[in-house]
Amino acid sequence: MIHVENLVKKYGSDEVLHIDELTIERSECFGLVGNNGAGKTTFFQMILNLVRVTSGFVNISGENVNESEAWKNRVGSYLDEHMLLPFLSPDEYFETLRRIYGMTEDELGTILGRFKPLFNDEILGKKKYIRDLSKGNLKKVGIASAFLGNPDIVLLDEPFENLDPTSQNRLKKLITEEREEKETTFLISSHDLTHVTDICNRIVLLEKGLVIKDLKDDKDAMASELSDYFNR
Amino acid sequence: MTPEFIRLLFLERVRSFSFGRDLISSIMVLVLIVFILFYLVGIAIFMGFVLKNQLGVEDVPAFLNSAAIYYLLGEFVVRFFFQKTPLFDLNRYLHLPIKRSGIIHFLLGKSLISTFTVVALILFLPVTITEITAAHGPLAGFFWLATIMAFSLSLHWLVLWVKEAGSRKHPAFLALLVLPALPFILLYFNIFNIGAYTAPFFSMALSGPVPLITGVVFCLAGYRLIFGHYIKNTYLDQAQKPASFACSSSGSGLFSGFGVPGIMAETELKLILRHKKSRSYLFMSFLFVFYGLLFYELPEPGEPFAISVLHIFVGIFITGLFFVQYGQFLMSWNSSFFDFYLNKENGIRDLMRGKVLLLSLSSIAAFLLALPYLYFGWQIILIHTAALLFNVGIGIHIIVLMSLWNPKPMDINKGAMFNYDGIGMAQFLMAIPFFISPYVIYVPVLLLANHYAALVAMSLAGLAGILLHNRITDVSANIVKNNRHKISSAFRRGT
Repeated sequence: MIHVENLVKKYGSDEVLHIDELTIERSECFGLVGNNGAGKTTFFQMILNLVRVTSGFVNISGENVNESEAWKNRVGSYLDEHMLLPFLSPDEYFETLRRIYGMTEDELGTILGRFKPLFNDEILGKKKYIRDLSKGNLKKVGIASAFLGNPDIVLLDEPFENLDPTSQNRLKKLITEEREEKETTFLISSHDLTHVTDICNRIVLLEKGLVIKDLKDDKDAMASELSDYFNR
Repeated sequence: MTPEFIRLLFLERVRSFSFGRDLISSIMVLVLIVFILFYLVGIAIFMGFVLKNQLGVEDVPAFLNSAAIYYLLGEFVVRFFFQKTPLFDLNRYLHLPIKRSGIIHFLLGKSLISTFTVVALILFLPVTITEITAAHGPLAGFFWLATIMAFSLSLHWLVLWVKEAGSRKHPAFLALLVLPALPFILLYFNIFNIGAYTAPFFSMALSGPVPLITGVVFCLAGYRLIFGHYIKNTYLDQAQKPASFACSSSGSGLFSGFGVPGIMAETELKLILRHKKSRSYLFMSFLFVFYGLLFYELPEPGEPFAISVLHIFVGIFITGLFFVQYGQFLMSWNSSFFDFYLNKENGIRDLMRGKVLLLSLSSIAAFLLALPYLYFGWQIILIHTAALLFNVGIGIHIIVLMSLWNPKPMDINKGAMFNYDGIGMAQFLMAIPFFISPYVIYVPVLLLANHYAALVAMSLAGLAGILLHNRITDVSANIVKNNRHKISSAFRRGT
């Protein structure tokens, strides 16, 4: 689904990311962990072609992200609040995205319907602009926007950050259901090791831009390896 | 996508925190544009008449052909200073399935909504009809006017490119601006008339489409150039360059002895030097010290320098331009870390005092740089001294108070891409009260006595302001304090 080769990002002479080869399969839940400055967000930005690669490439379904833009219809993402339009209300923002993705109103309603528990009646139908939302509600709007357009792949940067415990659990449930029903591929970066090990079947650990662990399937082994690493 | 973008831009504008302030400045700009267009229409209508009857030009089309190049060079320079480059918040859209090229086409198209787009048409339409069409037929008239317009549009793209691409790669690129002035200088001294060489090209337009086709090709090439530049740079990592600590980070002795306000002024100076936008304002203010050269004239030998009412404006302008540019956004520069000041004891007061201190120093620096005007006459130094005292004592506070009306959050860290804010017309217009204020004292005294007494009166008013410096500053600090919740919540939510 996503294939990365010799991916390098340098700022000046500082190498902030260097991944020799990495393939993420369909319907995988790919967790990305690592300490601050490990290159998690940069990696996501490079997958989305938001920052330029210094060398190497990212392919999504065989399409080099730097050479075409068709993949954007199949990839939903939320990295930070700069991706939102702060001067719109959440309803207006979703409506704008609906038109951009060319969805019908029913399709939009179906998708937002699944977010009802997560939204907890605080997002839709409120006369509030996105810029006035709390950090948690801002995150919820962003996460929901990543699901619009029925993407095959969803990238979320720190989705659990700023969410209350109830919302965190509801989000986990939502992600798991989405994977089971539609085989959606998820890429999730997080500092919350419990949550990533719960929902992800593969976890990659970055350190100073390098992949130092690639753990798959066995959740107990994952948890103990990660706890060893982070308790050094 | 275009209608959607237009709708979004409209909503963004209407829902901005500073909508009222923006609206008033837009109306003022609009009035100015109408005024300029009115003026242009006047010039256009009488151009043929003046050329023939006043200047004694016999063959008007031939004259226009050789003058065309000078018109275009002049347009380039004017465009460079006043044409805005399109602003756009790219990162809100890059992850969505909207073509990058679509966004850029939209932006470039939007940039065409500008007075400059119609200037050539307005200016030359009447003379084309009365002179060229009359002498060479309607087809020739069409080809000629369309050629000029095509080149004018080419300049539109070229200016965007020079501002966006060229100046970014190398500041020295701006020296190119001097080049268009060269033909004028050579012509003035009768050394070389470039118009004689370009006239045959423009006269070809009277008999065929070749120049028009050339112009269109230029225009398309210019579009291609700026489009190519934008498309290559629609990435978020533009701004992330390693910091260069050009200025020393140890405190300069300049601000010691001013206490906490001194520390505030020093951090503020770092802020100015480390952000492109503020740095360009600083650079501009020092560049405009030369502004006086346009107004001050050497007196006849043996005669004293004659002070005129206009010179007061020049003095205020030279010693106070940084106020207008930097001071207008006074609090906005600190918008993203405004809470830092709020949770310090007397933080706001010290910040305001620090800013006033820094602005005063900028005024003194400009005054010192302008000392060579002594060459024109000692009276100029007198004018500048009065202007300096008035600015530091009173002008500062006028700007500060005006800036406190709905301060706007500003993202000074935003990547330089699409964030080139030159000297906007609106900014100058908002500064009108600042420029008028000295005349409130100057003109009455001038009418009662003379220029020198008026200058003294201005200086005394300034000195009074300087003596009450801290008290007046604290008035504005209190305004900020009383509105702190409103201001900080607006700032916290971003632009």
